This record gives sequence, C-alpha cells and structure tokens, in this order.
Amino acid sequence: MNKPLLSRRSLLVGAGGAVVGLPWLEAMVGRGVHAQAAVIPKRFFLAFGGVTCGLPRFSQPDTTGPNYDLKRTLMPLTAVKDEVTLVSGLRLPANGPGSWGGGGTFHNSTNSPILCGLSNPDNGNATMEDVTSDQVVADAIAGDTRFRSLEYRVQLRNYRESARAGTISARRSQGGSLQLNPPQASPQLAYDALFTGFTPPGGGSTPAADPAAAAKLLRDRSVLDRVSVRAQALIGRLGADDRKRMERHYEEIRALEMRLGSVFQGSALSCAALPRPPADPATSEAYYGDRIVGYSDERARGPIFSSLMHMAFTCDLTRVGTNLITYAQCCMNSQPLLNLDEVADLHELSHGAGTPENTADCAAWHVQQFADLVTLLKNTPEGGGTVLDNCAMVLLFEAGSEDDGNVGNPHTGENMWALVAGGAGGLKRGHHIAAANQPHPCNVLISLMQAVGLQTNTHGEISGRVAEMFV
Amino acid sequence: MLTLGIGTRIAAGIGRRLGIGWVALAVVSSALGCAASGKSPPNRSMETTPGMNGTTPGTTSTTPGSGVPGQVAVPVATLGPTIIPRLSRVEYAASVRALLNVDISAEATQSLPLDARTPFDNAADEQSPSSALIQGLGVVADVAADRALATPELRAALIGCAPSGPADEACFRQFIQKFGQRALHRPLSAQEVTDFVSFLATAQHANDFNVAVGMVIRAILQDLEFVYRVEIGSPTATDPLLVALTDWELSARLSYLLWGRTPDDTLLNNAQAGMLSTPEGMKAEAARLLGTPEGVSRIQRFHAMWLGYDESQHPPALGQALRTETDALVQRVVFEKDLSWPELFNSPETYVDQQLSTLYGLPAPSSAGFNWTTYTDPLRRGILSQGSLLANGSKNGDTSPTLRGKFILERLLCSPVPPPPPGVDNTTPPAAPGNNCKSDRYAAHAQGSCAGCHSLMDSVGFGLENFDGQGRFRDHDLDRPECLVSGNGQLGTSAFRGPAELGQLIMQSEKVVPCLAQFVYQFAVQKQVGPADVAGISAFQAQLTGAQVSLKRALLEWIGTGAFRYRRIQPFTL
Repeated sequence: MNKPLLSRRSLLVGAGGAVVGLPWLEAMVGRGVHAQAAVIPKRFFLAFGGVTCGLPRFSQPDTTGPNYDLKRTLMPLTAVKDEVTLVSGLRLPANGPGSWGGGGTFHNSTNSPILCGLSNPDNGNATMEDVTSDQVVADAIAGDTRFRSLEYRVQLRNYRESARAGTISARRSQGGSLQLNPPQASPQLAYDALFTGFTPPGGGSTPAADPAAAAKLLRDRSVLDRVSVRAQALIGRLGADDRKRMERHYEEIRALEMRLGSVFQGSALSCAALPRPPADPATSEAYYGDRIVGYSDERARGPIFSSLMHMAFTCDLTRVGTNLITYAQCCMNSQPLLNLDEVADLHELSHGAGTPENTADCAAWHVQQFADLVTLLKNTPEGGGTVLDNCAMVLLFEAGSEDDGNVGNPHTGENMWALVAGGAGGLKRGHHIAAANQPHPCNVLISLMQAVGLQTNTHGEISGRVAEMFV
Repeated sequence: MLTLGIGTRIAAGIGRRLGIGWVALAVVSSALGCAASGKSPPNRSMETTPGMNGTTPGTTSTTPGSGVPGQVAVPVATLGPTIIPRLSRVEYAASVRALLNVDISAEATQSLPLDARTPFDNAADEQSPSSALIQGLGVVADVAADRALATPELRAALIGCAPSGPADEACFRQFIQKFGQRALHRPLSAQEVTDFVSFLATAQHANDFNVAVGMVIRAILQDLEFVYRVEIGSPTATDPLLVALTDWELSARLSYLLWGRTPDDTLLNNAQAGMLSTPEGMKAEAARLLGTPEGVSRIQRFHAMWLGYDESQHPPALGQALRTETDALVQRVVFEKDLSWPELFNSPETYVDQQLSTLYGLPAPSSAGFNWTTYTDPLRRGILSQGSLLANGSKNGDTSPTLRGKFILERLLCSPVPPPPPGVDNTTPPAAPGNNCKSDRYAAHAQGSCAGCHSLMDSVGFGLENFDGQGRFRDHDLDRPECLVSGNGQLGTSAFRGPAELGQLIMQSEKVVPCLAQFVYQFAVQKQVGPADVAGISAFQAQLTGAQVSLKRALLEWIGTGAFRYRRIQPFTL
C-alpha cells in the first residue's frame, strides 16, 4: 500500500486514525450524516469590501442600542435590523501595532492589518502576512466538513491591473508554509464544487443524480486517484525544500479526492439542492476617461454566492466562509451597479468623480449582500431556532472616511465600522454599539472568534474582544 | 542628504513591491536623488534581507560544469535560488494547444486562478496552490480532453494508432508513452505506463476506446509534472542545494523560456539524442525556437508585460491595432533587422493602419492594412511615441505626468521611486486655488518634502504631455483649450521635449541595458529578483555588451553558458 507521504487531518479522521491507502475512499461514503446527531456546529463568515465605508453621516445612526435608525448606507438592513449589529467607532491606526503604515499607497495596505492583525510591513503590498482569522477559526472548528473553508469573490477582476489583491484568506499548510487561499470567482464553478456528489435529504437534481454525470463522476475519481498517486510519488522525489512548497497542492488534490469519493447526504431538514446557476455573466468594458473599466454583472453574481454560502452552512458542508465582495481599491465600472448616468470607476467615485451619495450607495450595495445572507440564514430552521442563531458573521470595509464637508477622505482608518450578525456565543443582536476607545477592526474579529468557541484573545498584534458586542 | 536618505531596507521594500530588482537598487538608487521619508519596513521576508547570499564578489566557483571549454566561465555557485514554477494560464493554454491542437484559452482564463503580474505573469513566488486551482485544473482538463477527441481527424492524429477495439492495450500503451512524453517532457517508465492501462477497464465498460484516451489526457493535464515545470536535477558535489539539470529538464526550461509552452517533438528528440549536453547544441536549439513565429511572439509578449501594455487599457479595436504596431517594432528591431536593442527608442518609422494614421495625424496609408510609415512629427520616434506605451500612468481620466515619469524611471531605467510619505493622498487629482492649468496644479502639489521625488517624476512626465493616453497629439490640457501644453520635460539634468528626445536620452543612458538585463533575467528565472540574483543578472548582462546590443544573440549566448544548466533550490522558510 502507498503510505501517504504527508499527514492529513481529514484522512486521519476519516480512517479512524489508521493510515491507509486508497480504499479509504469508499469508507467515506455517508460522511455528513454524523452532523445531525452531534451538537449543532457554529459557523464563521467574513465579508470584505475593498471600498471606503463612506461618510459617517450616511451610516451612523442617531441613536445607540436596539432599534437604531437606518441611514442611507444601512437601508438594506431594514428587514433584518433586529438581527444585525452595527459596531461603530472602530479605528485602524496609521502607526503602531496592527497599523496600515500611513504611506501614500493606501489600499492594499489595510488588508494585512485588518485580516491578520499585523502591521503592514511593505507599503501597498496586498499579501497576507500571516494566517487570517477565518483560517484560525477553520483550524479549530472545521472538523471533517466537506470543505475546510469556502472562499468566494463577487468582483470578477480588478479591471485596472492584475494586482496581487483579490485574496483575503491565508492559511498554513501541514508543513507550516503560509499560503493564500485564492477565492472562487465563478458562480458555476462554486456551485459545481459544492453540489457534486451531494444528495440532499429531500432529493432534487444534483450532478450526481444524473446517470451521465454519475458515470463522469466515476471516471473523474479514477483520474484523480491516478493524479494523486503520481503526485505523491513525485513529491517523494523532490528535495525537502521543494517538497514543502508542493505539499499544499497535494493536500488540495486529496481534499477533492475525498469529496469526489464520498456521497454527502445532508441531514438537516432545510438542506436542499439549489438549481445550477446560469452561465457566468460576461465582462463588459466601457471607456472611462482614456482607459477601460469593466463590469461583469457583479450585481447578479453577489446573490448567487450568498445562496451558495447559505446552503453550505445549512448543510454543514462548511463552517467557515469568506466573501471578498470587491477588490481593494475597487476599480469596477459602477454605472450599471449604481444606475448612474455615466460610466464611473468605483474607486474614483470616492475621490470626487462622484457625489458622497454615490459612495454611500456603493457601500450600501455591499451591505445588501450581507443582508441577503443574513436573511437566508434567519429563515432557515435549525434545532429549535435558526441557522443564524449559530453563526458569527461580519462585514468589514478596507477604509473609513473623514468628513471634510465634501466627498471625504476615503484613504483613512478613521471612522470605520463593522456589521455583525448571528447569535453564536452570546453575540448581541440588532444593536448599534458605539464602541469605546476606538477598537481595532481585529478586536471585532477576535470577538467573533470567541463567539464560535475559540479560546484565543489575540490575533496578530491585536488583543482583546469588544466587550459590548456580547449580551 | 538626499541620496543617503534612502535606507537599504526601504529600497528593498520598494523593490519587493514593484518587482524591481537589486541590481538597480544597489547601483542606481543613490543616483535618483530623491528622499524617502517613509519608515523602514520590518524585515519579514527573506527576500528583503540585504546581503550577498551566495553572491560574494570574486567567488568564482569551480563547480563541475561551470567552465565549459571555450566559454566564459560563469560562476555557477553564485546563481540565485529558484522555486518550481507553475504554468501561468497563458502557458497552460499554449501547452494544451501544442499537445492537443485545441484552444482552451477562454476556459483557462475563466477557470484557473488569476496570475499576479510582477510585471510578468509567471512568477513562482506569487503562486499559491488552492482548492480553486485544483478544481480549475479539473475543468480545463475536461474541456481539453473533450475537444481533443471531438473529431476523427483530431483523434487519429493524437492517438497515433488505430485501435482494434476498446481493449486494444498495445495501441493504448503506445498512446500513453507518446502523449506522456510530449506532455511531461521525459519518457514515462514502464511502470508508469502500466499504471495508466487500468483506464482500459472503464473503456471496455463503456465500449469506447476513446474513454480511456480521454482519461489519460485528463490525468496528465492535472499531473504535477505538467502543471509545474519541475526541476529536480542531480546533486552537485559541492553544494546540496545546487543541482545540475537533466537534458529533459533543460528542454523544458528552454521551451518555456522561449516559447512559453511545452517542448515540441524535435526538441524532445534532440534532448534524447544528447544534443542539449553541449553549449553548441543548446544554442542551436535556442536559435531554432527563437526563429519561429512562437519565438517572436514570446519576445513580443515579454516586452508587452514588461512595458505595461499586455493588458490593454484601450477599446478592443484600438487596443488590437496598437498592439500590432508595437509588436511589429519589437519584431523588426530584435528579429528582422537584429538591430541594437536601444534602437526601439529611435525608429523613425512605425507600423500603422488607417485608424492609427488618423490617431497620430500621419498621412493616409498608401494601401489597406498596416504599413511602415515615417513619422512626420519630429517629436515622435520609437516605441515611446506609441499609444500602447503612452497609456501607462493614466489616472483620473487623464494622463498623470507623475505616473508616466515613475513608469519611465522604474521600468526603463530601473530607478525606483520611493513611495509617498505618510499622510499623502495620492489619488485625488492635484488641485490648486482657481483650478489652474495642469502644470501649475502639479507644481503647486509638489512642494516641500514632496518636491524631491515629484520633480524627478513629473518633469519626465510633462515632457510627454503633448501626447494623450492613446498617443494622440494635443497642444492643450484635456478640456482646457486655454491651458497650452509646452511639452518640455527633463530627465535628470537633460532637457527634452516629446518621445523622440526622451528616447534619445534613454538610449544614451547607462542604465537602460542593465535594466533590460534585469527584467529578462527576472522573466527567465520566474521570480522577483533579490540580492542573491546580482551575479546571475550580471552574467546575463555580460552578453549585452558592445556597440551592437543584440537581445537575440545575448539570449543564445547566455543559454549556452553553464549557468543555464543549473538550478539553486530556494531553501524553504515558513
């Protein structure tokens, strides 16, 4: 038998700790059934907008506590206001621990401070400097779910240049190397990944249910089996340094192999197959000034990813999800998005190419997507309550805004806020919390990490939770 | 005070961010003469650690194979480390086309993760495996296999034998051996072939031989040895991390460098025949590859990624015409006339169609399609006059003299500009009381501590202000007829006006050829270069000397040196 070269969490779990060869695949059939008997899992969700959250006057309620008033940017929360908490008064410092650096190259500089809690060492570098909060959580609560975590991205491309941004999740592989988790930006591929080999308890049409697709699935398994065995053999021939870099690829092959080799039968009553989304929207390009800006009907893509994340949580296909709604320094054509009269680069809208209301509406579009997922989870029964009761969810933006009486300065860590939802771990719901002492956005993430059961009180260079967020 | 103000670590940070290497940083950062007032970034990355890791000057190694008789002795031991690179989307699709004669480039773009630009799309240090990658590889392999077996003609050409039925093991083995070798650029062992034969059971079940063929294609196109350009080599006696590549690995290194795809049968046959084991054999193969349309296209794409026009910012028809124009100039200088490479900046003619003639204000072409046409405007000459390059640095719906200047300094002269100091908003168009003309607004903007760097960048950019982001001449600011554009600029201490004169200054600069060497090297080693690469870059730069700087000849000579035959494995750090 081929002894697996690399230890694998999922393999060990699936095989009861014994190191086995390929026949373990068959033993995996029926995974997921355990979920119904076990304690209801907690879920962690992080959405991120690569835009400013807009001027405070368009988002900050007049009141704190429950039943807060909704301004322009938060209007999409109307139906779920009792579920969503606004945490205002956050601040991302320009210097010191967890800072963005204060340099002239703003946008990507805030990724690592917000998501990893680490100050940005290299002005403008979008690379995560360490493990992101979602992956810290996945390490702790993923269990043997079908997907250790799911990463989606609504905005198809950056449209301006192929910058390194576009990924907000980073983990360490088994060997300890830090590697990014680039998100899936194709709704159809995201759907296929989720529903291949999936038999919902209520039946329904999934790829595995169709005879031709079932035959293909069998062949795919054989092919992937060969790819996997060969990968293992190759990695064995590599020197130690190359091997450590390649192991993540192998791990991902094995993870896919495991999914293809098992038939997931979701147990939750609400777990159901979704229809396959239509072909991914095409990219349209428009002329803005003397260059091109693009749009790929992100407005249509967003709800699809929300639906997929909803069902992934409901069926316990995963317990950790991220959604990068827009790239850092989002350069998307916002004309169709915001129903504007003219072509407009979303980033430049916030710099005076548009009105302050345009920027507020752009943030509102992000809020709408968060509200969509909250609504779906709220309407999904689980145990004696809803799936939302067992979630810890957050929406963060890359920047705050300082009100200068005009469009504001969107390149600042001042006046940042977060939307939080879910009832996991005693999170307060439906409140406006004007947080004391200007917490770092990571303090909110630490609160959510604790809400899903982690003992940690630190993320990167940032420590402590936002006490007011808890009941 | 200005020159010393740039700390080494700051320069390192800048270089890492911009993909600008250490040769330039070490050599020319002091020459830039503007101060960075930013903080020193902490050293978290090994790439940013200053030092001459393995590149101590004067340490010329005696590693076996480094001194090929009749060749310049290249200090192999000073080679910088590399990582095993994954095929970019473009390389993957090109390799599939070469292997199967089908086009999957649209699916590769849609299904495989985005390639970061450094400015090149092939940097291994920017690549990260992910579940999205694994899924995407499955998708593109599926599409490729289906298309490759779609017609009897394609099938016959691919399989190479006529199967007697779904259980024809002999024909199947023949196909596996042949296809496997072409895709993985090495012969498959008997055991490897046998392992694939198990797919025949599925073919028999489906009563279709092609099912098994399709499964082999799918498996190979997801194979680590196809998806990555694996270089294991054989250890050298002196250094555990320095390996000598096998001839098979050399064939792939050569082919991916000069064609951007898997080797063809001729190259593999020559590798098998041992013809790559001599400098002459390597050079002959390199010359053959560069002599094909694919070789030309590869060098054109290198220039396009380096000089920022691979991803067009123009409407499709215009973007295509501008790309054709610049590609033609690169082909003419590097291949057709094999001119000294800096002549790119000096060409008195350009290759235009009706659309571009109108754009540039040239006489209507004498015949349809593209023609070489002499510039009539004395301000125009060479590649800097072209709308492809002039699109660089657009901002706020107009040209940005700052960004254009930065582009010229960083990409062509490898003179990095430090980032703006803290608290600067560099995204709002410079405004001044009364909304003055552009030059006044920029002048008002670049005051005080900003002046040092801005005067260097802006003065270059303003020398190109007579040309808009498409390359059209203009004599006044965008939408401001009252604001006349002088077009006067300055590079260092030299005044110029327009692309022709700037091109002359660049040609005369001592920095432009070393900068070319640095970017070619970066493209070739598929990673962002660091201090450990100084010696490697110098070895390539040594081939670019003389009055006639031939990029083609330099590539061939460099490929013939011992340095090309080795790999230093980059140590793994967490």
